[in-house]
Amino acid sequence: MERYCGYLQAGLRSRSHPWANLNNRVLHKAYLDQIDIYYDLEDDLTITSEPKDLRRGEKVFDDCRFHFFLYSIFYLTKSSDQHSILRPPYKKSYALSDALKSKISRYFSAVTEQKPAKIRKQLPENLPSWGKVRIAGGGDRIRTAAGRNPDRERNMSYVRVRYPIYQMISAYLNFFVVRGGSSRCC
Amino acid sequence: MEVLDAANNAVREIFYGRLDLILEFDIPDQRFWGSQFRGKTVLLAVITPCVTSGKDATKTMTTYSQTTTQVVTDLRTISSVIGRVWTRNRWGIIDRSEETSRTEFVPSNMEVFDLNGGDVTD
Repeated sequence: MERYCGYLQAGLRSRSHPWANLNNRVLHKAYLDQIDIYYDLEDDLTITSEPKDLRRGEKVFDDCRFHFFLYSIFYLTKSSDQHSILRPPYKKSYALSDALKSKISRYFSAVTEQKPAKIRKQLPENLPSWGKVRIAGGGDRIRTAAGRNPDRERNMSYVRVRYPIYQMISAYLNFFVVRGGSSRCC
Repeated sequence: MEVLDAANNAVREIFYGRLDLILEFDIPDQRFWGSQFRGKTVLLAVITPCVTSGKDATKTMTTYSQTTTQVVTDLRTISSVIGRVWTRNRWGIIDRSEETSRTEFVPSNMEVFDLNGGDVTD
């Protein structure tokens, strides 16, 4: 939304009649969008559309490309074949704390149905981490809270999450099973 | 394993939280991880959830004052960024997302993916 406002703002020329400028800006954008759709000029007409190529330092993993195409048939959602474009700052090795390790194993336990303790043993000591992510297809840019934020005014770290509920249930079940197990050991 | 509601849709919990960390995990090519994960790269999101008891800020007014313990999930479950407003000792959530235009993360335990390999063809 802020970017769209910035786009509208760039059309302001008159101090006495800024509204006319804004009206025309919106109207002309609509014209161009219509031409774009009618002649399928998405690649050639890039007025405000996102550049398709990755920018410097950005990365997409092939293995992370999701079968959105198949699902888009079922779910009729507008979707692309990739979801997340990772952006720097990139940290080659982020040391995993014990608490984080057990959370990661709980997640994998929910999706692979292996025991969390077994998964935990398979986890490495360090993992690479990324500071920012851009959701593909013109989505939002999100900055992790761990990455340093030069902009004190705005916080881009809070997100909306849609979580498959079964994962949540099994994650919590495992949590209690693990805790029960460890208390018996002690 | 998937929980379905009356209309046969997968039940999903919506929650809001702070994205703390993005981790890149190259899973070793070992049988242990199963066909879904072995040899793949998984992007993990470490999130501190806000206590909003499943409310959807696009439908009702949603505020929170507490957060819970961090969770780890797939990065693709994140659908968009949200805004927050501090008022009356609580954070109000501004969610301008539209469900219809967002990509969705759907767990790949559907049979569609078993057509090209795995147990079905063996």
